[in-house]
Amino acid sequence: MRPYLVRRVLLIIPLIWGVVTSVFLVIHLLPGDPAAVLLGPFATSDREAALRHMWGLDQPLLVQYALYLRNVAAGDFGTSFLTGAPAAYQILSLLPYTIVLGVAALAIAVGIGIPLGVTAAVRSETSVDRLSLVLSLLLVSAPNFLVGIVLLIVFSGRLGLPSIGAGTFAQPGSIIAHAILPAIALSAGLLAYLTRITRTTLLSVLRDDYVRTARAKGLARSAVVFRHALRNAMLPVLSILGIAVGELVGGTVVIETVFARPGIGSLLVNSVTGRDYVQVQACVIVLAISFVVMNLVTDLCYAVVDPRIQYR
Amino acid sequence: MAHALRSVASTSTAPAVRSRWRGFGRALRRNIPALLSLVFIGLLVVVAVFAPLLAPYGPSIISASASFRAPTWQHPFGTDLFGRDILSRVIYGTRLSLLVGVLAVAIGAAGGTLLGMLAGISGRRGEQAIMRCIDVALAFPFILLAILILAFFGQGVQNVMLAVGIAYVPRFARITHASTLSLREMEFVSAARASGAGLGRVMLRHILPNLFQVLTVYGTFSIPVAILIEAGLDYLGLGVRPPTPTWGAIINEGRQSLLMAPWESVLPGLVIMLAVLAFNLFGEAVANFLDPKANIGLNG
Repeated sequence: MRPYLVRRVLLIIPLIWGVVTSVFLVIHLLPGDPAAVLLGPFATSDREAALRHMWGLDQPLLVQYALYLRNVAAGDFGTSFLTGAPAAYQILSLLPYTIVLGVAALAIAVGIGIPLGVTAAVRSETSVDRLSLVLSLLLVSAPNFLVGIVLLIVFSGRLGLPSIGAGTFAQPGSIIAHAILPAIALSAGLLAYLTRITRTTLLSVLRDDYVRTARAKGLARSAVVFRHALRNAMLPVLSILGIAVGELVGGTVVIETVFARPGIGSLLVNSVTGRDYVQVQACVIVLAISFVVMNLVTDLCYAVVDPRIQYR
Repeated sequence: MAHALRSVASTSTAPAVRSRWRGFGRALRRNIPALLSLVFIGLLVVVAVFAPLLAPYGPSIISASASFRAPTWQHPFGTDLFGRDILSRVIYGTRLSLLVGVLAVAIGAAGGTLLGMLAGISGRRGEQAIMRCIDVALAFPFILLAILILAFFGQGVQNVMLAVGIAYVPRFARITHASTLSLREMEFVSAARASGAGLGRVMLRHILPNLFQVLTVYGTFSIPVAILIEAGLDYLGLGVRPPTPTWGAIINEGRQSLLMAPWESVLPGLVIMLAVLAFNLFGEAVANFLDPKANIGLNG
C-alpha cells in the first residue's frame, strides 16, 4: 500500500512541471507579441521594445524559461498587465470564493446524486427510476450556463434571492446565501452523471451471488443494500468522480461568469478578454494544478477503499 | 496474388457492411427515443443547410422599432436589443454550431488517432514520450485547455473549432492508444510486419480499420460535448466575434438584458439542450449496437 501511495504522490511532480512548461510554451511559441497587443496598433517600436525588456521577452527563450520556472516555483507568477498587482496576489484573494463554490457544488452532487442513484437502483423499473432517468438525461444535456440562467431568472428575478456577487467573509451567512444558486447550477451535470453511474453499478452488484447469499441468510434488505452492495458499487463511482471533478473545475469558469461571482474562473475570463497574459497563465496553472491534486486525492481514496490495490 | 486476395476480400465485405447497417436500422426501430433523436438531428442538418431559405428574417437585420419584442407569431423567439429576430439568428447559428461541433471532433479524432497509433506501435521510447505529453495535456480540464489555446489564437469561428479540436486530441489519443496496444499483439499485425510492411502501412491498412468501432462510439459521444464546450466558449465571449450568430453567442448577447428579455437567453439555450440530448440518445444507441459492453450508463 505505502509504495503505491508514495509513487502516486511523487508522480504528480513531473506532471505539474509538464503543466507549467506547456503553458510557458503556448505563451511563447504561439503567434502574437504581448507588448504589441497591450500597447495597441499605434505604439512606437521603442515603447514596445522597452516593455519587452521590462518583461524579459528580449532574452533567449531558454533564459526566459529558466527564470520563469524559478519564479513559479517561488510562487511568483509575475505582475498583471491590467492591475499592476502580483498575479499570485489576485489569485490568493479570489481563491476562497472559488473553493466555496466548488465544495458546495460537490456536496450537492454527491449528497443528492448518490442517494437518487441508490433509490433508482433499488426501485428499478418503477416511476421513481424513470423520473430519475429523465431528470439526469435533461441535466446531462443542458449547458451549465443555461441552468444558471434559468435559476437566475426564477429565483433572483421573481423571488429576490441573492445571486450576483459572492457576499463577504465577514458575514458567513451572506457567503452561503450567495453560493446556493451557483452551486446548484455547477453541480447539475455531475449530479446527473453520479445518479446514473450509481444506479448502473449498484444494479449490477445487486445481481451478484454474494448479495443473493446475504439475502438468503435472512439479512434485511436495507442491510444488504447499504452494508454489502453499496460498498462495492462505490468503487467505480469513486474512480469516475476523479475525472468528473475536473469538469467541476472547468465549470467554475462558466458559472462564476453567469453569476458575476468573484473567483479564479471569472478572473481567467476577464484576463483573456483583457489580454492579460501574465494573469491568464497564473490562472490556468493554478486551476490545472488543483485538478491534478483533486485527481490524486480521489486516487488515494480509491486505494484506501479498495484493498486489492496494494497487491498491484 | 495479392490483387486476387484483395478482390475476394472486397466482395465479401460489401454485403457484411450492408447487413450491419440493416441490423442497426432494426435496432433503431425498437429504440423510439433514439429514432426520434435521429429525426431531430436530421432536422437540424436540414435547418443548417437551408438556413437562408428557412429563416424568416436575415440574421443581422436591425430594426430599432422592434427592440426587445417578446415571442409572438411574427417573432416566435422574440427579438433582441437591436430588433434582430432571434429565431433567424438561431437558425443561422445552427449552421455554425453544428459545423464547429462536428469538425472539432473530426480534428481531435484525426490528430488523436495518429498520435495514439504512433504511440502504440513505435518503440518504448517513442511511446513514453508521446504518452507523457498526453498525460500533461489531460491534466488540463477540457474547457481550460480550449480557453488557453483560444487566448493565444484570438477569437473567430476557425479558432474556436481548432481550440476545441486540439483539446480533443489527447482524449482520442488515449483511447486509440489503448486499442492499438491490444491490436498490435494480434497475429495479423505480426504477419504484416513479418511480410515486410512498414510502420505506415501497418498503421493505415491493419490498425486503423480496426479502430473504426471505438472511434465511432467515442466520436458520437464527443459531438454533443463539443457543442456544449463551443457554446460555453461563445457564451463567455471568448469564441466567435460578434455579430456572428452561434447558439452560445446569441445567449451571450442576451446577458445584459437577462431579466428584461429572458427569451433571448432561454430559448436558444433550450435548442442547445435538445440538440445535445438528441446526440446523447443517438450516441447511446450507436454504442449499444456496436459494443453493448461499453455502456456509459446514461440509459442504465
